[in-house]
Amino acid sequence: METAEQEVLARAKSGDELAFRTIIEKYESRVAATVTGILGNTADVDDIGQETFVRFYQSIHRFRGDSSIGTYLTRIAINLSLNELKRRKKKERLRPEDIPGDSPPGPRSEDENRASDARVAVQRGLQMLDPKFRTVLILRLMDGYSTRETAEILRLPLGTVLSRLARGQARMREILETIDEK
Amino acid sequence: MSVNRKLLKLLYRSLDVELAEKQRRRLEARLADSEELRRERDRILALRKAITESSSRTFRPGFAGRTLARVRSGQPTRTAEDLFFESFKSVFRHIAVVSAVLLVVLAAYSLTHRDLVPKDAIYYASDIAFGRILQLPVF
Repeated sequence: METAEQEVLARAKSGDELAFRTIIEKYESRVAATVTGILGNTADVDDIGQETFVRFYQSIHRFRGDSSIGTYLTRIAINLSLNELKRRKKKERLRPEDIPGDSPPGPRSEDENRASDARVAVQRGLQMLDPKFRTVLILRLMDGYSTRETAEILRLPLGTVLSRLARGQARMREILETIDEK
Repeated sequence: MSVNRKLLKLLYRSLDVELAEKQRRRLEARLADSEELRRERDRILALRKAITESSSRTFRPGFAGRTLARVRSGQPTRTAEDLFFESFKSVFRHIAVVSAVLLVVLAAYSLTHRDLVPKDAIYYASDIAFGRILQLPVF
C-alpha cells in the first residue's frame, strides 16, 4: 500500500470524516463498476455501493492493510452483490426492464444510438451469464485487475480464473449472438 | 467452428497471461498461417473491448455525501443477528415443509398399507361407534 494511502487510512481510522470521504471518492468508480457489472444498472446498485463503504467503515479497525483498500472494497462489493443476486433470485425480482436500457435524455446521433445499443446488449448479456463467470469477467475486463489479482480477490486458483475467463467469454459470445438474432 | 479447441484455449490464455516461450511461438506460427484463427482473435478482442466499455463507473451524483450520512446515522447494515435470523428462518422453512410432507406420507402409508394406527385412534371412535353413526338416519 502506498504511503499516501496509508496516511489517509490512518486518519480515517482515527475518525477523520474527510479522510473517509477521500477513500469513497477514490474508489467509488471501481465499486460502481463491480456492483453495476454484477447486478446490472438497477435501482439498488447505489444502495449496495453505499453498503460496501459502510461495511468497510465498520471493519476499518480490523483492516490491517494486507491487501490494498481497492482490493478489500472490491471483495466486499462482490460479496454484497452476490448476496443481492441470491435474494433477487429468491424473490424473482429480476425483470428485464431493470437491466440498463435507459436512454439518456435528448436526441442522439446514429453512432451514439449504435454505441448505446451495443452497450445495453453487452450489459444484458452479462446479466444472463452465470455469476461465477460474470464475476471473473467483471474483475478482469471492467475493473482491470490482473488474473492473479482476480484469483486473490475471489480466493480461487489461477487456473480456475483462466478457465472461467475463457468459458465466460465463449458463453458471452453465444448469448450476444442470440440477442443479435432477436 | 474450424479452430482447434486446444489452440483456442491457448489464444484465450494469451490475452490474460504471459505464455511460455514455446507456447507463444506455436501460437504466433498458427496465427500467421490461419486467417480463421486471426479472425477468431479479432472477435475475442472485440468482445473484450465491448465488455470493458459497457462498464458503468458512476453511482448517482452525491454518492459520497449519501454514504457518509449513512455512516453517521449508523443506520443501514443488517447486523450479524439479523443475518442469523434470516438464515434460520430460511432453513427452518425448508425443514418445516419437508417435515409436513413426511408426516402426510407416513400417515398415508400407515393408513393404506399396514394399518399401524388403529382407526379408533385416528378418529377417536371405535368400529362399533362408526357402525352406529352410519346407521343413524340423516334427518
